[in-house]
Amino acid sequence: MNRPETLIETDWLGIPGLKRDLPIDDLIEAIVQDVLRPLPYTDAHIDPVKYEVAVHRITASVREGAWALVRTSSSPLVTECGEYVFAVYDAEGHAAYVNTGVLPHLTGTEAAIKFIRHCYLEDREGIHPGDQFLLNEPYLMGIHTPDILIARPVFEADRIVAWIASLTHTIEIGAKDPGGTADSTDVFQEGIRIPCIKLVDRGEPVQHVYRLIERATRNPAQISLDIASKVAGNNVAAARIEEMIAQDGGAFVQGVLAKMIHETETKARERIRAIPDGVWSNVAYADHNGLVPEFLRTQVRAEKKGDVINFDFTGTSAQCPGPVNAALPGTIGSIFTVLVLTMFPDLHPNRGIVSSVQIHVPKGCIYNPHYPAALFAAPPGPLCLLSSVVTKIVSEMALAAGMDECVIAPWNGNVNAVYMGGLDQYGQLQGSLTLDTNGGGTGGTPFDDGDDTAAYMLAPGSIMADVEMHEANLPVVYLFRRQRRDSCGHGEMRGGVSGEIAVTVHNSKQWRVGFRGIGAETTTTRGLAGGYPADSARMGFIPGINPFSLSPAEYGKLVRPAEDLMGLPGAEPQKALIPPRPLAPGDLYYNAWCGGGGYGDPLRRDPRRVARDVKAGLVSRDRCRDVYAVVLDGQGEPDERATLALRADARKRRLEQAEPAKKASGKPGANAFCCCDCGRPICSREADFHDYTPSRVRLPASIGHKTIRADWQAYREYFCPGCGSLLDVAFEEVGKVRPPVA
Amino acid sequence: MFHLGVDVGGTFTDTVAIDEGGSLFVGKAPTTPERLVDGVLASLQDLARNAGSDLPGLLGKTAFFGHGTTVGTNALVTRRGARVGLVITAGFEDTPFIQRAVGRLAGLSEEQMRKQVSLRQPVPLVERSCIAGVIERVDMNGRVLMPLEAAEAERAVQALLAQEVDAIAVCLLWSFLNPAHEQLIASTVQRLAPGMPVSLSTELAPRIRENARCNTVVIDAFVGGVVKGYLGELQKRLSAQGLPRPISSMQCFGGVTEARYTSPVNTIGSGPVGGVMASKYLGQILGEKNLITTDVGGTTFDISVLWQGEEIIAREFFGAAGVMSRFEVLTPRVDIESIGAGGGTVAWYDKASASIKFGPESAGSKPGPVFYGTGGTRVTLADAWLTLGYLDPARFLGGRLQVHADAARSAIEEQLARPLGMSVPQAALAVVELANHHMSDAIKVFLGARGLDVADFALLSFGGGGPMHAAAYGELSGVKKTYLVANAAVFSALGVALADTKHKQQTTLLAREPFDLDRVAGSFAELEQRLAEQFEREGSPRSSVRLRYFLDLRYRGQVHELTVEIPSPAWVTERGLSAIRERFVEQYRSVYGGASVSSSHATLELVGLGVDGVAGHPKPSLARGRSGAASSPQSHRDACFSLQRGYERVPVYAHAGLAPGQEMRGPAFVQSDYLTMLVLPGQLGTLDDLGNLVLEHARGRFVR
Repeated sequence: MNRPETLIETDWLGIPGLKRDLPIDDLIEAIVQDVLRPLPYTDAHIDPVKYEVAVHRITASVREGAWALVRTSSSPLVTECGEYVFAVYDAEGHAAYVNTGVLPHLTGTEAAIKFIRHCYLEDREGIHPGDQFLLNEPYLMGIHTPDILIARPVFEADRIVAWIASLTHTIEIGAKDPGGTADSTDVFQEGIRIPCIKLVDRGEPVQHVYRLIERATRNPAQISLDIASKVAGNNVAAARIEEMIAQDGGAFVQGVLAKMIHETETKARERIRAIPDGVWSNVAYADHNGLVPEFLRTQVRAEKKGDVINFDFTGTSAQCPGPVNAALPGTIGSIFTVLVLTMFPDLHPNRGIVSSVQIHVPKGCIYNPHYPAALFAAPPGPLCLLSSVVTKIVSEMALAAGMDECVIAPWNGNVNAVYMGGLDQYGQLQGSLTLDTNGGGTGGTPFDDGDDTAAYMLAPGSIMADVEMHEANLPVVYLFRRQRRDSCGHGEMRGGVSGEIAVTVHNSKQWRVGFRGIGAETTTTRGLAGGYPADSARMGFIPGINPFSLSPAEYGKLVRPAEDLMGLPGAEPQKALIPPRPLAPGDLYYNAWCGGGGYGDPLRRDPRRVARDVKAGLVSRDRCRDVYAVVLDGQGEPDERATLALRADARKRRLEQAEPAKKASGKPGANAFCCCDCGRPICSREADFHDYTPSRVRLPASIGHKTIRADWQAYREYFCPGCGSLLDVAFEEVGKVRPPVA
Repeated sequence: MFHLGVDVGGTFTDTVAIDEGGSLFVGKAPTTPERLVDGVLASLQDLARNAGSDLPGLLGKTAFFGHGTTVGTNALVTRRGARVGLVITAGFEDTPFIQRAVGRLAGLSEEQMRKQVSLRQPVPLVERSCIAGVIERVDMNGRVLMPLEAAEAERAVQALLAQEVDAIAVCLLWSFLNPAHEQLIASTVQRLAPGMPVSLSTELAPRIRENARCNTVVIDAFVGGVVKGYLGELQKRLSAQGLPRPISSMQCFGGVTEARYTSPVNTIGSGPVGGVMASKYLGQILGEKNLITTDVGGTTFDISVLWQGEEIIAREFFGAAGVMSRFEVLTPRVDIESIGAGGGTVAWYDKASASIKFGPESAGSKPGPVFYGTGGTRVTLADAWLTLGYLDPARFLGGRLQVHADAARSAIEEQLARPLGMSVPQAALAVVELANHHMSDAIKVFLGARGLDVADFALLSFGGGGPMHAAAYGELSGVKKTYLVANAAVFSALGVALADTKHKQQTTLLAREPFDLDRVAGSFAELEQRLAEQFEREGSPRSSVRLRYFLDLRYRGQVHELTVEIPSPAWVTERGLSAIRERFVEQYRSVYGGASVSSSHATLELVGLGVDGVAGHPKPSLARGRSGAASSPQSHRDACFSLQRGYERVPVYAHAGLAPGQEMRGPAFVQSDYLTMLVLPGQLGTLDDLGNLVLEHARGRFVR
């Protein structure tokens, strides 16, 4: 059934040059790379009205299927945090419409469907109506083992017309520790891994497959419900597409799917073309390799030419011994996520955007490690950091193109998930994860501050669970969950602040808690256009504190910033990645995460906004004075004259303290890069303005970023030589970084 | 004696009165946004005139006065409400600002959610300086971990009073399992500031999920003064004019309650519920138990369902009960979904796909469709109607508006027809067809997501544009029968006049299998007692109250519970767990399909239980048998329904003149002042004896 591809040996699966009998590793790699191939397009000349009617029907089908999935899933990450993907693909597995969930799976899921076709089309029992397939191989699909995809073909008679697939982040996958791992050294320690298996055979569940998966995890009932929810969602959407096929024929539906992809491609190319050609780059740092603290570089250079952007990762540190790596499909998907959310939010999210992008990631670096490197911390670690790195690049391109509505400073470049497990308050075995960190800070924009405790870029549909829901499901009690002062990058428009929690274990004597993420000793999140980076994360334990044995007055003293809790006697601040350790009832853990980057020179911020933030407790009086140079009166209102004087003085001091520019400005000509404040021409648009502007190095601790290792990372501020306005804040590599791939 | 209903709309305030014989009278007056009560009284004057009386005469003969108020909704949307103080568990003072990161998304469409650069969480309705944390803590079993001391409660309340707040909202963690701490705050407020309104989460939303619960009390406090003030003023002025009884207010979960007992938050979003209540009533008369209700307005298309004769209650995507102005809340509400497709919805040409796009942007009533001549420049659905001959230019809005047909036509020509290489009628037909598909797709998704099958339903259409579009979207959606409703233009007001008194009591009870069945029965008894008190104070006789019982159940680990109706509390104790499980699985399968039920080791979790009480009002039936006898059209008008048919001469009937049982083969228009009904070519319409035009789709389908 459905085997015309076999006729042309050289074009296995319709992928140019692919051969059926390649060794498995090569085949997977070729399928993964195929995500980046622009698709040929033949216009089926569909009536424009019928097309729009069909597009509406298809997107409605996806919504209906996703709805069924979310309502029945038992993974809190889906139901409480919105971490799922639901999509429709063409017959070969190219995404035509993906709903807003965990967008980095936009392209990796394509590889998954192509691999299903590889495995079942010819070699085994074939693909039949009513079949569904399951897989979670991260080297094929990204991102890590808990991401489980279930795909279902949609047929017209015996011919595949389309695919429906849904993916959820399952909370427990049987890794070495409950709820995952922070210190795995290869992917074999990260739980059950299924390259591809038939789960439903012509409508009938294959029971031994269910048993296999359930038995492999600590929460068997949960994973089986989660699988059932995806099967149900797929069925709902497939039924709708089948109705369309019955009415208008398979060829029509295929034509519509192709046209949806082509529509996005056309619009994406047009938008990229409007950006002036040029080169942009960004470097940011992580602080932990999963086993020990280590200084790691992520370096991305983007060259835009014509209607294509080429991203190059040369210079990025070699892969880590621990799980702080990202397989290539996740790397590619994260870049697309940023593009969809900044430049293409109005287009159908589908693989049409890949034609505007080329991606080169050296084999063996953090973002394209050799199999079987560990991957578990990819989403909170390298991929989150990458989203922040690429956001800055794309926003600078948009600024150059005058597309201000697409401009946003990087969002929090790391999250630090708390993961845990053991015997819960009901006496049942469970592994889990609390994603309060989904309330990260977004970046500042030319028009507004970033959003506070609002979002996580890689999963823009993600939310935080209610504290009561956490406490109903897990043996914990929260002491506080609130917004974290000074966690944002400061700027003319500051980044969004993040949050912080302190939690005690309650009603369980066998409970372990760990942290998974990066960015405790480096900052991952730069600012944009002169905005400052965001502060790093804080986490740790305070054993034996027994908060509910205290008097109300003493208890009240615990309800204060994590920054202060760290200084309490007995507090044990932790590095970034911490495998779960046993906590007794009454032991405390705390987690304070990272905010968004700032936009623009903080000295240009409206002093009334600064005063408002100080009153709200979002910005400290220290930063009010030393970063914003705002003087407040006795009522906390800005003193205008004193502020003006302080700001003038700050600018003067900047230029006095700065090292001279590397190169002399010369005559930049008419089309020059100019200071956004005083308008002074600085250099030609093609040149890198950092070479033509005076700069000074600043210690992170000098703006309150206390946990950043001074022997690793510093900030370099670049100023307009004319007015002293801050144009950019870059990361300065002080310490020895893990070298790139040789 | 009259049953009287008022619906305050954006443009008009509608009033209806029905007498014992079922005769229906209508009043209309422009809505007066600054002083809404004036508009209501003007509309009532008009109504009294049409009923051959004067206002005191009409009010003196009124047995029931129902009112759907939008003042709460308006106060919320325009953010003009009270200065609210909030008391919350210490450590969680930022809850209204964090909004569990759902504030950025709640209530938005998929497309809106992707605009991540400009998205922001909504600004809370309570200021930071007006939030007071209190040191206290209760755990998930309702056990006090940290007591609330009287001095601490007093300190917090004093702090808010110093901020000169108008009302105080209280939301403490897990308070619904142990209300003592919230009650201490309430009594402290009463002592320190007698008369200060207090909204307690344990009373308004005794359910798990602190963010939505907190929003519920904050909104209640925010709109409370405005809602109570408005209802109080209305009551006073009506009493002065001779109304002998208290007015009743529509609630967002259906039914009415006496205005003085209404919780302000329950009035929000109650506007569209009037239409559903009217559908419920009409369904009873028509003998239709399963109805899809559809309302085509100026900017939106509203869908809801009556299943087995009852309205259904919403469940949100993110686990809350509902979203009010982008804040998730726990207030139960009738499940009504709104999509951006109405007369003012914009259509445009898209270059990259060389196709035509429809919505969701809307020109609304300002600037309005191009043909209004009030500044609208973009083609809207209503411009397509006019161009295709569906609207009578001479009688649009009862002749109150001058119609600019040429402007509409040339806008369609320039913006759509020319770039698409189509003729003007072809482009206009495309807009109407897209609208029809958006509407029928929305119906299918709405039913599909709730596990309902379209084929089991008849469809009711109302609102200004419903009876004009429903012939098409009704047929497309797959229902067997579509009703073009006679009183479509005042249907919401009718629903308010005829709604029954309804109260809802619910509680949280977290338990895993095996549940303590006696505890469940005890909880039901407690809720029944609370309901009895509510009905008693409104003077509803016990015998008139019908009770319904619900369990909220889910598989362990799930977050979204399924509400399962059970016959009685006694059934639980008699039949036990296996019967509960059986009911749950049966309903679960019907909603999510057979494949969704997982293997046997998934245990059941009880989340909560609820009791609904409805006290039926004795009410008139609509008059049957109409006087009209004319079977010939009043006039003819050229209209176009497909490219093949082109413009054709279509008979136009006056609604008032038609006789019951009259059949008409489409194409045909039936018109009254505020309403156009359309039967498409090939379809067969039959006028029933209530004046509804009924399309049985099996008897005739649209012929292009």
